[in-house]
Amino acid sequence: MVTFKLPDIGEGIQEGEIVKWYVKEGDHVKKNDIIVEVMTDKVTVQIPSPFEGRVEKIYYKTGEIAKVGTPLVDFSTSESIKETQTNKSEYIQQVEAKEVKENLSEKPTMEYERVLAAPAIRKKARELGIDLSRINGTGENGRITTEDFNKYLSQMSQKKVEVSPAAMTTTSTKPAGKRFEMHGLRRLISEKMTKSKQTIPHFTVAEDVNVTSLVEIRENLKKSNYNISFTPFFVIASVKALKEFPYLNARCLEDGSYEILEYYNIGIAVDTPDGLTVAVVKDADKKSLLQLANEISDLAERARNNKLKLDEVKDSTFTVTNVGPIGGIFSTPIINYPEVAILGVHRVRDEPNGKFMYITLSADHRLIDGAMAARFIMKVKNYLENPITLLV
Amino acid sequence: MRQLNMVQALNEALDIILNTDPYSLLLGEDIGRDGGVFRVTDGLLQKYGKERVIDTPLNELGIVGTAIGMAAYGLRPIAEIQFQDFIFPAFDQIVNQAAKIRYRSGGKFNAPVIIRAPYGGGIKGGLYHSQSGESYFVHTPGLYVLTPSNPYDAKGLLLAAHKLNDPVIFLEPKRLYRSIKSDVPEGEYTIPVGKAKKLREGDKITIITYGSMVPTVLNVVDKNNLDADVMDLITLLPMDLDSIISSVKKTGRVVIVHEAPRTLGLGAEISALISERAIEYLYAPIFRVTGFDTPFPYANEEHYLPDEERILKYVRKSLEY
Amino acid sequence: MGSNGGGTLKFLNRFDENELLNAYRVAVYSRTLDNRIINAQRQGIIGFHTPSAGHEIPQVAMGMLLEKDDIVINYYRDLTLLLFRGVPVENLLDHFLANSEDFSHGRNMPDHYNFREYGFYSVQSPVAMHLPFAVGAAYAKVMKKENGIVLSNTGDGGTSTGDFHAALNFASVWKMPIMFVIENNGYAISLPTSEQTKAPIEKKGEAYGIPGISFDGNDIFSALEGFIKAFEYVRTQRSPILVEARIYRMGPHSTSDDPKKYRKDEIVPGSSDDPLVKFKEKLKSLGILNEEFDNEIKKWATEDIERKLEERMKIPPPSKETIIYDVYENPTWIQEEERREWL
Repeated sequence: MVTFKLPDIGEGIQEGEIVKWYVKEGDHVKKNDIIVEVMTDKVTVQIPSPFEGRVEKIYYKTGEIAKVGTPLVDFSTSESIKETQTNKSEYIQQVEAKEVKENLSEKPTMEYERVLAAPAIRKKARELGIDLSRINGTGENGRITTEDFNKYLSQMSQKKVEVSPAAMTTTSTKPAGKRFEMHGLRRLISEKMTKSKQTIPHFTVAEDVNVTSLVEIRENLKKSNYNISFTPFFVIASVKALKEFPYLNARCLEDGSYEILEYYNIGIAVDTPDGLTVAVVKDADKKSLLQLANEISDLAERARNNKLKLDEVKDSTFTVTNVGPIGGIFSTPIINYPEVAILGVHRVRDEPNGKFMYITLSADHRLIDGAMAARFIMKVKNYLENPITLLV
Repeated sequence: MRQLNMVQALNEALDIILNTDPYSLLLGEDIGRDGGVFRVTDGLLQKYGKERVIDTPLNELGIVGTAIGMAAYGLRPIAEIQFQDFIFPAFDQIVNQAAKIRYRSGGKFNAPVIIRAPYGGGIKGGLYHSQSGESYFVHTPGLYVLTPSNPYDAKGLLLAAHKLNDPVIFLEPKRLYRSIKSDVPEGEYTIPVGKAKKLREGDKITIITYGSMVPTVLNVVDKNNLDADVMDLITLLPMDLDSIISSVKKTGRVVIVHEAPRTLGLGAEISALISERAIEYLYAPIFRVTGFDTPFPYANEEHYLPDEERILKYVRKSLEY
Repeated sequence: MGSNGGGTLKFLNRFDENELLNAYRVAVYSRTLDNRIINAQRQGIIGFHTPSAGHEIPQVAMGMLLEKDDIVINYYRDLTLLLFRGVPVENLLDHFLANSEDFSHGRNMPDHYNFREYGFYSVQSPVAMHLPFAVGAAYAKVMKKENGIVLSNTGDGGTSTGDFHAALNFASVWKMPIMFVIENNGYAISLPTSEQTKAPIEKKGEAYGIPGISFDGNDIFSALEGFIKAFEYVRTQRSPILVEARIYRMGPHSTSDDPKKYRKDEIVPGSSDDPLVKFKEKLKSLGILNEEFDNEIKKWATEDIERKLEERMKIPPPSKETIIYDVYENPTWIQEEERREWL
């Protein structure tokens, strides 16, 4: 039994109306006998039978609309109708045998010195400060695929401290120490600090600040249920001073030039279980004490839980680091590259004539001289010693 | 609402134009008595008469050349070129006359003429009834190049084209003439020129296409549940770049699908535009799935045309890059 | 002026002496302007010109018979006709100088005239491309039931083009009120007419069912007679006609062409064979003109042109922003963006 479908009779024709059947079920037809007349939008055609045989089934009645490609008539035939094999020409067989491989990048495998990655991957890596050459690329020619990059990112947020027995070529009889490699955040910090110290000629200037009034204000606020740490005050004081000393709110660019920034995003150093993280308070000059306090507190909390967004760890213009609560009267902080200055604040000391705190400013001596740094720190000191001036 | 195919929708648009604009007229080969070889102008000669529906001699240069003169002097002619493959004798008139007369006359003359032509393959037309030559026209400043992909758009787009005061190349994807029906409102309506339509919404990849390839692309997306933005350009010149870029910035992956040969097809222009404005958003190269750089074959037509398999292959390639 | 008391001499039952004199004056002015433009080109003031010396007679003849509602779809050698129909010399000079007052902001090479308001066309370079356009313009006139006819002219070279074929075919099939004028000046750049076509040009119309007239375009009365017949035909029959005016291109095809490479000047400007000189002699013999008045005309033309040229040369060139406009009615984002970035 073979089914004859309504062929495509004309350009783009999809269907036709059955005008007249020339055969009925049970009739015997010879090849090329006209079996039916079909009318389409464009033409009316008579369709000849492609087979010799008996009409077994007619699928459409006169007047019905038949769709092209659907069964029209079933024939039973005496000879077996085989589907004619498309006899591929020798030429085509040769071509197929050649194995035309799909290869978009038809370059011969050259050794590329450069890291290969898509533009969006590169941008993300730049923003996060990730060195792409450290990532193992599984794509063609060692290209770093999106999957490779994402895997690397998730590895970074894991604490990975591998301990391997010292298979070192040493003849020492001493017991081998614990050896580990840097991963994730630790490695990031390591790279950043190294770059900062190796590139920037640091110097540090210090002042001793009488924080008696500041402490009193904090106590008073606590009584009114505002639990505000010192940090927001330091942020405000820093921002006010930065407005008068714009060179300290600058960024070192890759080509060696500097850009003085007209916005104030203050980085807050946070100690997290994985290491030091700098969360960024954007546009600190536009926020009130309470807003700053809440934001800093929220950022710190999330930093410790590894829940900071990408946006919240980048684009700082000046950093404040406060280890006071933990301990240490004095430190020489390392500048948060590519910024040019960092303010360190420390723990409060009870002195005979009041409560005092050392503040230290590390600065980039390529751009900032001692005199400017000194003037800046004096400004900050004055603001902090007379907290009322923070309001104006 | 009643459903029309594209031929019926276009016919209705032309009827409305002839009915409402007394200075409009149609001219072309076999469009009057025969109603057009695709029947797009069926019935219009009977309704509007020989002065407004002209069966012209066999000369595309003459059809387009006289139409431009008519348009410059206050008429609104709609010229039909029987197949886009035959437009080339009129190419001089289109490129040197229609597209430039406003510019060279400092605005004293303009040519509000619409040149309609069926284009694209898939109807067993071989070399000379299947071409997609839109690139020749998109490369000519001064022209509008429009192509609808469904009956609703076809009617609204043609009615919109009639309101433009500059020459329009209106390319009708012939294999879609009767294969789709959609809801088409009665009466006048337009769709905006210069705006693409987002047919599917998704976050992972942007597929840009137009005209005859739209149904194939939609099939691929729907059957495979792809999380994709599908953009139907509709207007090729001037293209809706803003919609494209905002989609690309969202997804970061692009596949462009067109029937026309790859070299200097619209995919090349779109690629350049995207890479100028959104390169940092790209997670993968911009892939093009196109017809081959060969004349259009007859027996192997289905292998020439970008099919679902080929499109899916490049979509996957982009997603996994 | 040695006339018989003014305005009574009727030539060809149509024109009086004032009209003939006016035609002569326009022709002289046109020739003077033409020469001045060529000089200006050699001086680097004007970039390019297609001289019209030798075309004056048939063009003033056309001018005398055209009416206000007639449209002329012209080409680049019609300086005389433009002047005759009132196009101000200042506008012409602005166009030649491509300054900021030019109608197209200096977008065109010279001789791509566009004076729609005087009943003319926007000239393009491809030869005869405007002939089908003219047929369309005629169709518009008929459909809008307007007065007037369409006249479209080109040279002998134009009759070889596909545009010529299409235009005549369509004009005839549609029965359009259009006059095709072939200003056969003997050459298409370097190709003599005998190698351009083997058919007499007036007979080419027969292939399309269009009647043809041919006449000596170097003689004013012969030209007028021929054109009177042609205009009469088109205005009354509202059908196309093909007119051949046989003239001689006395100058080069353009200021970039050197005719010495391919011909000897068969007619030397200013000699007794020069149709303008013959026109003068004819008018003198009719008592309408004398040598003294002729010199006055020439002097006036020279001085007027010089003064106006000096004045127009003071006008600055067009600003570069004008590149972007008039591509479409309003610029698309593409032109806007390019303007912002580069201009």
